[in-house]
Amino acid sequence: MVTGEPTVTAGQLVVPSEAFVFATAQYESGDWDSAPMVAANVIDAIARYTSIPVRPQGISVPLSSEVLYGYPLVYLTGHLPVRFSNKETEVLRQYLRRGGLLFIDDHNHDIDGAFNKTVREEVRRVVGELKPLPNTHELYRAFFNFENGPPTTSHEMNGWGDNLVHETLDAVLIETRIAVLFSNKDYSSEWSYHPDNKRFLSIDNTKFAVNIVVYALTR
Amino acid sequence: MTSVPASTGIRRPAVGAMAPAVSATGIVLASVERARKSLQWIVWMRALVLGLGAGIAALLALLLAARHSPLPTTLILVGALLPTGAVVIGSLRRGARVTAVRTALWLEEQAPAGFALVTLVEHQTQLPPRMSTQLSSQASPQVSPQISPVDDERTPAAVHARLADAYLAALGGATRATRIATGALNAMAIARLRDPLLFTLGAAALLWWFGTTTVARGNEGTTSSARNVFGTSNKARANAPIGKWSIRVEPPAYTHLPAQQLGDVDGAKVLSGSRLVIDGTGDVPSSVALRALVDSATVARAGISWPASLSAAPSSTGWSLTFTTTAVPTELRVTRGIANRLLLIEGYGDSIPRVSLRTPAHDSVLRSPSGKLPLEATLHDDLALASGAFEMIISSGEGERFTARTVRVGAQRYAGAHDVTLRIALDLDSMKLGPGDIVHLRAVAHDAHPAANREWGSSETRSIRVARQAEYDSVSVEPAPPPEVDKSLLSQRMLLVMTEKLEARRAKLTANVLADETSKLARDQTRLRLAVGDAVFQRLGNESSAEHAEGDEKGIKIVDGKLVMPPEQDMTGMLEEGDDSPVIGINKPLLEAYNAMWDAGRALELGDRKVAIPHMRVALAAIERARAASRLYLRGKPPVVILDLAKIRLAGKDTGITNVRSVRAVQSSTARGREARLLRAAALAVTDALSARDSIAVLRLESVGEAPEFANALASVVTALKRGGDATDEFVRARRVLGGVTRASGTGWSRVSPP
Amino acid sequence: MTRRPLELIARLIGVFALVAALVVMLRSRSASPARNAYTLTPSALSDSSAHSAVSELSTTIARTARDTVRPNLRVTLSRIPDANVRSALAVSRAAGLAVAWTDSTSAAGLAVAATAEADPQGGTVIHAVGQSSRPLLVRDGASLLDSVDRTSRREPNALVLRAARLSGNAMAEQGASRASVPVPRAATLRRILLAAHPGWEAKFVAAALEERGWQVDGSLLIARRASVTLGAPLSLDTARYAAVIVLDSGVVGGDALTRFVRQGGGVILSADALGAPSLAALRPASIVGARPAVPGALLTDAPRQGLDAFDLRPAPRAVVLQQESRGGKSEPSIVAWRIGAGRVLASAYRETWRWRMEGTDDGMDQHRRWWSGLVSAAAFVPTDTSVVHRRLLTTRFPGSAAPYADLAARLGPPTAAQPMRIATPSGPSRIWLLFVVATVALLTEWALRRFRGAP
Repeated sequence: MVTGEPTVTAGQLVVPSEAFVFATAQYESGDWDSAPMVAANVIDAIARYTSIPVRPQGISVPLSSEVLYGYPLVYLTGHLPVRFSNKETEVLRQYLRRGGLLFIDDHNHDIDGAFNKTVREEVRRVVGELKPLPNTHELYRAFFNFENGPPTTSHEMNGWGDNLVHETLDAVLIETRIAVLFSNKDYSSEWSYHPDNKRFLSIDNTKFAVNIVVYALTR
Repeated sequence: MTSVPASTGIRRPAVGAMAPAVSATGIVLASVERARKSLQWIVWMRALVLGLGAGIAALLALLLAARHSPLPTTLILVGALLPTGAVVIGSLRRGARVTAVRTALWLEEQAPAGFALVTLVEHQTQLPPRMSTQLSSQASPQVSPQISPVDDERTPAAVHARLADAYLAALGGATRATRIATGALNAMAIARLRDPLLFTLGAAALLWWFGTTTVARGNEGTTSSARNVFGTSNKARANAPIGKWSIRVEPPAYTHLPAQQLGDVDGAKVLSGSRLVIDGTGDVPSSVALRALVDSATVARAGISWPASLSAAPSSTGWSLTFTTTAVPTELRVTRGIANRLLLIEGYGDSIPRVSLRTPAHDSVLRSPSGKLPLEATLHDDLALASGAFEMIISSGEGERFTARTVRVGAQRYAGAHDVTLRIALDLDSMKLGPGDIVHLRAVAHDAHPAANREWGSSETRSIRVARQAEYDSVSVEPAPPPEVDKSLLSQRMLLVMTEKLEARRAKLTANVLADETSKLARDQTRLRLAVGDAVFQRLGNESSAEHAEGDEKGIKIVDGKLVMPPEQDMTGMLEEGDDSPVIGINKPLLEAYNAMWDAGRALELGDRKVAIPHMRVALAAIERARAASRLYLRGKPPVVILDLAKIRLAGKDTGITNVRSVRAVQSSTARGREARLLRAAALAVTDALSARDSIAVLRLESVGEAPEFANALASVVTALKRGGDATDEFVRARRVLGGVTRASGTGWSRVSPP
Repeated sequence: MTRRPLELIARLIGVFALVAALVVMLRSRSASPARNAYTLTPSALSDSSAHSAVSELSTTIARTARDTVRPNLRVTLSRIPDANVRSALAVSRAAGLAVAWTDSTSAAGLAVAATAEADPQGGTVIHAVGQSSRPLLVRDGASLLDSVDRTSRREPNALVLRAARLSGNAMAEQGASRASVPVPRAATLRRILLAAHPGWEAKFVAAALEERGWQVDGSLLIARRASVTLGAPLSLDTARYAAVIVLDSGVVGGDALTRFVRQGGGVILSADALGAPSLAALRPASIVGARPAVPGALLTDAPRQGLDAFDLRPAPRAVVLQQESRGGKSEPSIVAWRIGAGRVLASAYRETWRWRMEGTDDGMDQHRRWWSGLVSAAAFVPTDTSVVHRRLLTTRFPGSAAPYADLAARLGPPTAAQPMRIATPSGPSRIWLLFVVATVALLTEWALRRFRGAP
């Protein structure tokens, strides 16, 4: 599949397929950039397992800008408290209403931590209360089959953060579509390594990212 | 008539003797005349009362008929007047004229006088005056001695005598008859007028009852209903079947607002949670129905609990009904029999407070967390503020380790104020802030709403960061503190400079001094190396410094005191299964620095400054690289990783599964539903404008939130229908505003093109 | 007043009435050289219930039974009469009258048609056309819908309206003439097949159509042996599918599509699919260039200018359904043509999902309606057999949908106006009236005389 601008080759107009761009949300209040390697890892996973055209580099997009609307899947993480400004709130609200999906991961992995508490409050004000997503949801079958729900991370297993293994992810649904997906499982840490090192892993722990991207692209 | 000649021998009475006899007849005749007038009056009155009764009965019959089919006002009025006129005319024609003779006959019926009175009345009218005078005079007792008794009855004298006797007898009888006239007339009046009066009063009572009790909603524009016959729509409202009611609104206690009397209204805008009291007149309604004018999903989302049932109770005014309003538009329908009345309630919710943080106006960095920081915020609530405060989340830590604590300062309680300014001077010393701490500051306010899960108002958040100690002497906003390695940089540079200076002064110093100074440098170098080692190993998992490490540490070997990573492993990062610490890119430079410091320290311990200096330079360069990497990283510019997609495309061994996507729900167009209801109301307006007006008022209330322009257009329709007359233009405008009819471009295509 | 003057007056009235009746009778006999010429009274023609006209015509037909010469019926129409009257006129013609009608309607060519829109949310498309001499109004049973007046430009008045819901019949009016057609039943709609690669465009097109009420089938190939299935895709056939939307090239074969179109199916080729060689025979336009999006246009009232698009060159017999103005030039943006029984549409726009995501608050709904409109313009809609049966049972005339044509079909073309010297059918009724008056007057005179006691 070709990506890029339309070109003419041998008299034929070759129209490229639109490439998926992994976007990281840039917000004003905290350390939005605490997991810079996640983008590369997710892009690597998409390319490794699917034929979806994807741009090789991720992009960071300000939440306070309508540019966000051009990226219907956006990833948000951090350790510090999250407080959306009025502009960010409004942009995010429209973004989610129109069909965008916001994937949030607590890099603190701490339900008592400031990130978790503040994000839940901010999401409630923007679009509604985060509620547990059943492990039978189609997200867990969107590409790979995760029969037991969201895969556990090594941080959970090693007792970091809140020393809990979270059985479910949380979500806000608009009709039946996931608008906000929230993880306390610290995938940001789990996926924060150079993709080249995947060859050392017996199990690729980024497969769940493929499910999230495929879900966002098709539902 | 015959006249009696003067030569017949009748003596003319003396002039004075004539006067009493004439007056007696005159008195009798006058009495008869009075009786006649009274009888005439009775006849007329009877006719009038009967006519009135007939008219009222006809009107009642027509109004009853109008319940089933509309009748024009003119027809009803004419239909009521015609019988009245016909009965009056008919009553007056049949023996309407009461003559004196008839009166005399009637008087004789009451007191028989042998038709003397009748004769008197009849002949008095026909006798010439001289004859009656003569008769009258002969009837007078003073005259009678002049008449000699005669034997021949045929003589004029005898005739006159007999006439005089008859006259006297008649006069007596007539007088007797007139004497009883008054009583008889009264009895006559009662007898003749009683039944018609009863009939008329009965008909009037029925009409009154009909007008004030059940009347089906007739045509407002046409005139079948009582209200249109009797007058204006205001009166019609007064005569509406459910009757008047009085609405009282008692806002929730926490608002401290007074109760409002709205009077007899059909709609009200009411704060959610208010108690609505309706006091009505008449019988208790048979049913009361409450209906939300929004879909059930909205009701569920608003968390509204609907009363299971609602009923009115008897009261001193008639009946009373109480319920608590909600934040959604609601319709209350009160029904009694076949009549009902609508109350439309536009509920609105209590807004959460609006908070604006004035000071500090921007994010900032503090070099030292001491002193007083002024904080100011404005709080506003539409009803009643309860409390306000400044809330801070203080985050400490770095890298992957952060802790946070929440502090509230400046809390104030309010007793229902609407606008407040909250000001405090924050004592930074009391916050116990440390270098690198970040304070997220905002102002919050709660209103007095008593709900447990009540949302609160908050301002935008300001971030105040405390600079780290070795940070630039600058107050520009830096998103990250300087890393620990900066301290090493300063010390290593100083060590290098000191070593170079010592080497330069070697010739001038004694060996002991040289050795002492070199040993000091060696010790400093070792201390520095240990600090760098701590930095390396902290990032590897909070272990202590490398000096105390044993064996392999996370793949790093210690060979001859130096940290060695196997060359085949990628030094930019590594993660093994089960490893719980990310290794970042600065490790390699730091390792190099550590190892170079080891070499430099060894050389300095041996007193070989010249050998140590190059190693110190290598260490310095390595630390600079590490510092640069960490500073860039912490400033949010991630290391650029560009993947070679062609190389990895579909290189994964696992394949996904084919799965079925769930279907999206249909977004039903509420505009279609609205248009359907609008068209139904338009059709209804032709026959029943009142019901159409109610339907449109309900539709307007339902549309206020989602389609305000359509709601405005419907308000015009309601106004036009209330005014009476043609509301077509308003209907057309409302329909167009809804967008249900749009022009399409006509092209040479069988279907219309997309909009 | 005494009775004698009254008797005299009554007698005079009676005599006068008798004389007048005689005069009228004589005049009606002598004034009509053409005993077999008839007409309809203006009052009968203006009666909206048509009862009078039909009744008069019935009477006329009965009267003409005794005519030895073929009777003429001349009618001057200031408005197109209702269906009953038209039928009665046709019957008159069939009964042997030479019916000649003069056109004073100024409504020649008035016609209206209503078709159900191929849209899950329903709706009706009304085409109305009329003369240029008078404004054309379109209304339904509830209210006026729209009007057009091109009298100043001397162009025929024509309107095409899309109405979400209609009350009663759809009607077109010019002056007092009216064309009327019942609102058709909702169209039977089949499913849509989406042929696309996974991506935002496929996601949001499927979402828009499903939210509008369409049922969408498809299969998005994610990996070699993994796909995401939409609905339940089956073989391409008009028994199941109304239309196919091709968003990308290489996802569906040209042969299957061509077969589908010839059966009557609709195909929508999005911009990115227009370059596919396999679809060359199907596409109604070819790409000759690219035009970039106008920055910020998504937030204006011409949002599609904010989308990247291709410049299209329509094929010779293709129809341009929509154009876009750019720099004073009009560029085709939707081009369509018929292939066999089906329709193929080509859209110039790329990444239309940005209209929904990056447009105004109304962008979602606009995007939905636009895509649904694209499908409606091409979709296969099976014929409503009940309409066919109804048409088979009725006459071969156009009916109230085109009342002028109906009239002309039944009676022939209009004739020039001619002066009328025709005995009106109202002559006998006058004589009867006068006779009644005379009778009443004479009876009154007799009664008065008898009351008086005279013989």
